[in-house]
Amino acid sequence: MKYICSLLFLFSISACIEPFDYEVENYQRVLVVDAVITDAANADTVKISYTVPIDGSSPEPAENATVYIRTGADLRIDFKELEQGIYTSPEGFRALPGEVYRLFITTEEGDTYRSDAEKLVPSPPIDSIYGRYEEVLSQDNKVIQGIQFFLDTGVETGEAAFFRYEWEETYRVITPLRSFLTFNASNKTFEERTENISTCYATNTSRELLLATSVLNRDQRLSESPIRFVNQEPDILRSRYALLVRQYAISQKAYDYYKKLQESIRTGGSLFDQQQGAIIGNIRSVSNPAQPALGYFEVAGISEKRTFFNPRNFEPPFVRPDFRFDCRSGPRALELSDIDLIAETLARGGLNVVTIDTMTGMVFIISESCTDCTGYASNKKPDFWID
Amino acid sequence: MKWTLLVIGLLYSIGAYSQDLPHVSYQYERTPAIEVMADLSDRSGFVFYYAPEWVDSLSITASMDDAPLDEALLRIVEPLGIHFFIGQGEVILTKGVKIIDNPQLLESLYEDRDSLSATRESDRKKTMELQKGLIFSRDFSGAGKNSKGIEHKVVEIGLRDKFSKDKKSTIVGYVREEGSGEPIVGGAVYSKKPAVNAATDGRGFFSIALPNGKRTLHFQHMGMKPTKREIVLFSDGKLNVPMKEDIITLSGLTVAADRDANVREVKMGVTNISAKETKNVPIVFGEKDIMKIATTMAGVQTSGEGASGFHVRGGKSDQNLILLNGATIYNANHFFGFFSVFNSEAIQGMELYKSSIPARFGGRLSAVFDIESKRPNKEKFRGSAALSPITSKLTLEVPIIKEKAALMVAGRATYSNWILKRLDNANFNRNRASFSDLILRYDHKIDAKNELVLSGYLSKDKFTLTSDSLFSFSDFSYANANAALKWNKRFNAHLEGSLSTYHTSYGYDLSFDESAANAFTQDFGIRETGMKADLNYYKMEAHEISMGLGTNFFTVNPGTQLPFGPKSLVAPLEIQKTNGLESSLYIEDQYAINSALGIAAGLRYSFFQALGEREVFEYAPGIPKSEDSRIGSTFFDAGETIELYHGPEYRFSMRYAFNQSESIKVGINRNRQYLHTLSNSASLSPTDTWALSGAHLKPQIADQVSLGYYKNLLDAHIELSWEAYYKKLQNLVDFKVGADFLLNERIEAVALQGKGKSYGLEFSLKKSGDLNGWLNYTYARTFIRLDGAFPEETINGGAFYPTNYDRPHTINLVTNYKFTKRISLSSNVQYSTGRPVTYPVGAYNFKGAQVIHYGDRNSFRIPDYFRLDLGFSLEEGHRTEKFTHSYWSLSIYNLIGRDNPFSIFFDASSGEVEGFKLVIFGTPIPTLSFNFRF
Repeated sequence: MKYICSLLFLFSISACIEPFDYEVENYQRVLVVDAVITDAANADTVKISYTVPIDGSSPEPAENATVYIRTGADLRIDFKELEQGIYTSPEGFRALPGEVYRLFITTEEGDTYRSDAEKLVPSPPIDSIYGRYEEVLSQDNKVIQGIQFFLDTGVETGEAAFFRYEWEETYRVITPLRSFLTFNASNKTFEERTENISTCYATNTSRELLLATSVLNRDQRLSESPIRFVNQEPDILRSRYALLVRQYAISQKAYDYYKKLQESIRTGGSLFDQQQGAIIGNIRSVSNPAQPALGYFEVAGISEKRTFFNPRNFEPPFVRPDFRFDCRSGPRALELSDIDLIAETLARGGLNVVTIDTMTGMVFIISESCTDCTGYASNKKPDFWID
Repeated sequence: MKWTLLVIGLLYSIGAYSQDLPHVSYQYERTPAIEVMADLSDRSGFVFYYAPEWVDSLSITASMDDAPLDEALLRIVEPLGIHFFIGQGEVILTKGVKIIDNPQLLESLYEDRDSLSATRESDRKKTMELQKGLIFSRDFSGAGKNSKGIEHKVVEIGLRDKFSKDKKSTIVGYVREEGSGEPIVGGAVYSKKPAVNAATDGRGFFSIALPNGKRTLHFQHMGMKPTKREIVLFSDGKLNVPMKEDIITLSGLTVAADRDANVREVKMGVTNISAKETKNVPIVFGEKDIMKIATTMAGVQTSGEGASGFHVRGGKSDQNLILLNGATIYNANHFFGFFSVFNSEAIQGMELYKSSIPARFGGRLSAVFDIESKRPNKEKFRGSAALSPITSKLTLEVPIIKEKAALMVAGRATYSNWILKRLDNANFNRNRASFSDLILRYDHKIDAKNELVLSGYLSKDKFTLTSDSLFSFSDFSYANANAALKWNKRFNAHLEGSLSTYHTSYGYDLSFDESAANAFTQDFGIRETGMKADLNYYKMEAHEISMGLGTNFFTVNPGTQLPFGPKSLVAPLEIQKTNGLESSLYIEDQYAINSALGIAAGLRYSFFQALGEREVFEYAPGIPKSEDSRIGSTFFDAGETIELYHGPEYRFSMRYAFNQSESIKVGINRNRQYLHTLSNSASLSPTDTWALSGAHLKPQIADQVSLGYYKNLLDAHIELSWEAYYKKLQNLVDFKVGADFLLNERIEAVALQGKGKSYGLEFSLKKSGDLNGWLNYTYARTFIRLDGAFPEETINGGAFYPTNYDRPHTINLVTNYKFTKRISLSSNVQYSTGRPVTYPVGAYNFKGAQVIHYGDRNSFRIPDYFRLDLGFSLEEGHRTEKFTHSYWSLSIYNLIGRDNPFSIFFDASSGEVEGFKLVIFGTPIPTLSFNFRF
C-alpha cells in the first residue's frame, strides 16, 4: 500500500494513510478455538476463548468446557483444563499419521461445537535452513538491512503440500566485559562470582502466521521459503544464533483458512482492498447453526530442525551489530588500597567489579550493563545449545 | 407563372455568376448521373450537394464544349426535372424545390402587384398566391443584398400547387458534415417561431413539421457552426443541409444540439456526450476525459476517487459494455483508474445507454458506453497537440485521397518515468509507472453508397512496484488491443446496412523476481472475435426498423504461471482455457404512432454455448463445492458444447408527449450477461479476471422497469427530467470471504451467485446559455442476497445487504460560465454518501497474531464524499484563418482540500484495533495544460 502512496507521490499527490476515529457500535461475542494436535510426543492443547470488544478488553478464556476429540474409529480422548481456557491432552497421547480426528466442545453455557474431520499427514524433514543478506522496505519506506533466513525441504514433500511454520530463535549475548568478582559491602571484601552473568541466551518465538505451499513448485519441493528476517539491531546476530523451525504439515483447508486470516491481517490501505468478513474455519456450532465459531482445529504432522549460525560467517555487506550498550570508554580503575572509596562507589549501584589486577593493585569497575546480561536474557544455557 | 419565376430565377443567377463561373467541357454517353455529377465536380472544382436517390437510376447523354458551369448544368439536369443553385464553390441540386436567391426581385413583384393586372391567367394565379401571403415578405429583402452563401437565400420547399395556408407540412432531410459528408448525429433542427424542435438521428436524418409559409429553420450541433435556412414551406418536401466544423469551439458544454431531444426521444436514459464537452469541466491532471464526464451524469457512480469501476444504476462494474468503434474494451483504465484509456483528442463522442438499451446491443446488464473515435477530415490536413504534467498527446488527420479517404492517428504517452528517474529519493526511483495509447481510424468512401471504416486501438500500462506484499509481484503490465472493420452500405433511401467484424484482446502479465528460486511470470488474457450484420429500414417518419444478427467467439486464458529464470523452481501451471460462443438475433421497431405517442419495441434473443475443449468437474450434491467434494469430471472435446444458455431479452419503451416540451416515458428491459469479472476487491483491481458462463457459472439476468417525466422550460434552455427505476438481478457473482481466484482451477468453489435488486430516482437539470451546466441528483440503492445452502455460502444470514457500491445520495453540479468567447470558468461539485464498509465487532488472538472479527458485511459506511474543482480556460487565435489555434487551461482539483477517505481499514497489529483511512487526494491539485491545433 505504501508503494501506491509513493507512486501517487510521483504525480504530486499526497495520498496516504491517516488515523480514522470510528465508533465502536457493536460487539459480537464469538467462540474462538485454537487447537493443534500433532504426531509429536508432547502434550497437545486446545485453547478456547471468546472474542473481546475492540476497545481492547483483556482476553476472556472459555472455562469449564468439556473438550474431547474423536478418532475415525470413534475413540474418545478427553482433554483436561490445566490452565484457564487451555485444555490439554492426556499424557501419552500422540496423534497417528493417516488417522482422522474431530474436535467436540461443550461450553459452560451448554453450547456445543464440533469440528470437521481432519486427517493427519506426516511432515517431511526439513533439509536446510540458511540465511542471506537482504534489504527490505519498512513501513515508512526506509531500507532495512539484515539477514533473511530461508528453508528448503530438499526432498519431495509427498502427501504433504501445505505447511505452517513456527520458529524459535535463540541467540547468545556476551557482554564486552565479564565480572569475575562480587563485592561484599558488609565486610568490604571481594568474592569470586559463582555464576556467569556475562553470557546469556535470549529466545524469541514467532508471533505471526507463516505459511508455505509446494503445490505450485516443480518436484513438490519447497525452496527458499522465507522464514525469518533479522535486522541489524543489536545482539541478535552478534555472537551466535540458533533458529529452530517447526514445520506443520496441514491440510489444504487449514492452509486456505490461515491464508485468509493472513490476508485479513495484512490487508488495508490499498486501492484494491479485499472484501472483509468473518473468517470461518472448520468449527461449527451444533446447537445454533446461525452462530459463527472462529478458529481452527488443526491436525498436523510435525518435523523440526534447529540450525546454528555464526554471524561472522555472513558475507558483506552484512555488518555485525554492536553490543547494545556503549562500553568503549572501558572500566574505571580504583586503588585497591582505598577500599572505602570502592565501597562508596559501588554503593551508588549500577556497577560491577570486573577484576583485580594483583600486579598493579587496581580494581576495575564498570557499569552493570557492560557486564551483566541477565536483565534481558537468561544466563542458563539451554540444553540444546552447541557452542 | 411558376415556370416564369423559375426561369427568371435561373436567368438571374446566370447573370450574376456567369463571368466568374468555371467553364467545362464534357461528353457523356449514357453515363450514370452520379458519375456525371462527380465528373462535373472534378472539372469545375465545385462541391455538389444532392440526394443520390434522385438521380441514381438515371443516365445522361449530352455533350458541351467550353461552356460555363451553369449553362452546362442546365443542359444536363433540366431534362431530369432537377433544379440547381450555384453558390460559392458549391452546387446544390434540388428536386421539387427551387432555391431562389433574389428575394428583391420577388419583392419588386410584390410591390408592383398593382401593375400586374389580371390580364393573363398566370399573372392572376400569382396575385392569388401573393394574397395568400406566400411570397417572401419584406423581412427577407435585406438579407438578399449581401447574400454570401446559402444561409441568406430563400429556399422553397414543396410544391406550390399543393399549398394550403393553414396546414402543416413536414420537412425531411439529412444534415451532414461538409467535406466528409459524415452524418451529424443528434443535431438540433428547430424553428423559433413557432417553437418546434427536432433532432437528427444516427444517419443525420431529421423530420420536422411546421405550419406552411415563411419560416426560419436553425441547425445546431456541438462543434459545428450553427446554420439556418430561410424557407418558404408550401407542402411536404426535402431539405439537406451541410454543416461546417466550428474551428473555434467555445460553445458551452450544454447540449444546445439536443434541444428537446430529451423530451422527444422515445428511449429513456440515453445520454449523448461529445468529446468537446470535456474541455469545460475541470479535471485532475489536465487530462480531458470523456469517461469522467460520464460519471457526472445522473445514475452513473464511481467506486471512489480514482477508482476504475463505474456503477450504472446499481450495476456492478463488469456490467458495463464499453465499445470503441463497435469493439469491446475490457479495461478502460490507465494507472489504477486515474485516467481512462480514451484519449479525448481522438474521440468524437459517446452515447451512454443506462436504461433503454437498444436491441442491437447486448451482453451486459447495466449500461452501454458506445464510444466513437474521431472521423478524420477528408479535405484538409489537421493536427492537435497537448501538453500536461503527466502526458503529451498528438493527433493527426491526414487526407489520403481527397474527399474519399482519410486517416486519423492519435497517440498519447506519459513521461512519468523520466521524472521518476530524476527524483532524489531512492525509494521512489525504484518504482515505475507509465502508460500509452494509440487510436487509428481510416475512413474510405468507396462511392456515394458504400463506405469502409477501419479502426484500431492499442493501450499499454506498465508499472513496477518494489515487492508489494499485497500484489506479491514486481512487474505488472496490461494491454488492450482491438481492430474493427465496418462496411456501411446504403441500398436506397429507406434501407441501410452494415457489416462489421472485429477482434479485441485484453490481457496482463506480471512477474516476480525478488527470489530467484521462486521467480515466476503469470498472465491472463481474453480474446473476442465477432461479426455482425445490421440493417436499418426507415419508412419516412413513422417507422424505423432495425434488425440484425451477430456472433462472438471468446477465448479466456484464466492464468498461466511459468518459472522465470534458470534458478526458478516454480512449476509451470496452466489453468484450462475456456471458450464460448455468444450469438444473437434482434429486431426493433421505433414507431411514431402520432406526434404524441411513440414506442420502441425490440426483441433480442441471445444464445451462449460454453465450448470445449475442457475438463468439467462434478461435485457431490449436498455439500459445498470444493476439492474434497469433487466426485468426477467429464472431458469435452474441442468445439463440443458443455452447456447452452439462451433466452429472450425484451427492450420496450414508450413516450407520450403532452406537447413539444413535456413528456412521460416508460421502459421495460431485460438483459443477459454471459461474461463475468472475478474480483474480490472493493473496487476494480488490475488483477481482476474475466470468466465465461459454463457448467457452474450461470448467466446473469437483469430486468428493469423505468418511468420518466421530462419537461423543458424557457425554449429548452432548461431541461428537467425525473427518472425512477427498479431493477431485479439474478445470478450476480460474488465471492466467499477471502476467496482467491487467481490460478484457481475451481472458481465454482469460491464463487457465489445470488439475487440483487436496485432502485432509485434520478433528477437532472440542464441549462444552456452563457451560464450553463447541469445539476444531477441521484437516489440509488442496490442490494444483493447470498443465501446458499451452507454457512460459508451465506452472507449476512441470507438477507439482502447493500453492495460495496451502494451510495444512496449523489449530487453532481457542473457549471461553466463564459465571460467572453475566449475566457471561461468552470466548476464541478460532487457529493455522495460514503460507500458501505464492514466494521470490526470484536478481536481475538490466534497463534500469537491479533485478529479482527468482522461483523455483517457492509453494515457501516465510510464518511461522505465531497469535492469541489475549478477550471479556467483561455483561448487564443480567435480567427479561423490563423494557422494554429491554442488554448491554456488551468484546473484545481479538490479546491478545499477535503480528506475524502477512499477506504477505511482496521489494523490490530499493535494489540489494539485501530482505524485508518486511505486518502488519495487530500490537498488541492493544480494543473496547467497547453493545447494547440494546426
